[in-house]
Amino acid sequence: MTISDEEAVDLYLKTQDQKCFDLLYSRYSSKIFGKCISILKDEEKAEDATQEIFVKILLNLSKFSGKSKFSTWIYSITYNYCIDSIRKRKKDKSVLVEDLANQHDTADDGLEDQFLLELNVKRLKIILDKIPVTDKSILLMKYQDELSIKEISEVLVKSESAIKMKIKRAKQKFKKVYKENYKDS
Amino acid sequence: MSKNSFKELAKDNQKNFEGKEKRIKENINHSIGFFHFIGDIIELFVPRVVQVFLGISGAKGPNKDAEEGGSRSSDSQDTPRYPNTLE
Repeated sequence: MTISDEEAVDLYLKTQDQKCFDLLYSRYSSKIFGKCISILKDEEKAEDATQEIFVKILLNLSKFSGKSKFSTWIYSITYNYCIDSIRKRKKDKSVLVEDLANQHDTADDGLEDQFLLELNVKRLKIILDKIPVTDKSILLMKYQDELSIKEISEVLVKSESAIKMKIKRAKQKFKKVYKENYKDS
Repeated sequence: MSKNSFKELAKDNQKNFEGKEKRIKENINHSIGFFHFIGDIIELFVPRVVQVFLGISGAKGPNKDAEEGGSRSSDSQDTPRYPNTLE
């Protein structure tokens, strides 16, 4: 019998049963690790981050209200942890400035979705590693986790219109860096 | 099914997790065990430490007052509550 994430959380909170934790760990550990390695770009740091994120999740499990999906809640902790960790490391304050600088650019979103989804994986990885961490995270949330605008707004604690704007700018940034790296295509 | 290079990238990244699963899980269990231990220590000792401080400061618990039943010594009845003030 399979139980949902939410049921496993409830059961864990009531019984502290290790099996519930094992279940959640088997469902999400590799995904969390994948996101950490994608953002932090370092296997060892991703390993430490996965561990700390899971400890954080377990210690805050009682705060999970069930308003959003458990996966959305877990991803919000993961993305916010990774973004904070990058910011602490690099003191990356250029993100906002870059966002503002891109305000006047225009983009054809319909075409870009197709372009992004069908891009060569190696190229995708290279370009994602070259754009600011917030842009990268928002693209991963939208295209990898397939979160809705509403869910992304919950993760980043921003309004839905702000998220739409951020996605648009992230795509513009991606396109710009792609053109710089692959002028022929 | 249409292609999604983001999902393929996620699969590639998750491949690196193989072999680390068990070690990370053990570390998480150790950390949680440690936090529980600290929680137990706090739960056990903090009330006692508070009691010790109350004892040192001379504060009496409500039960002790009740035991005395208002039968104060003649000294305490004779001396004013605030010795250096005019009452």
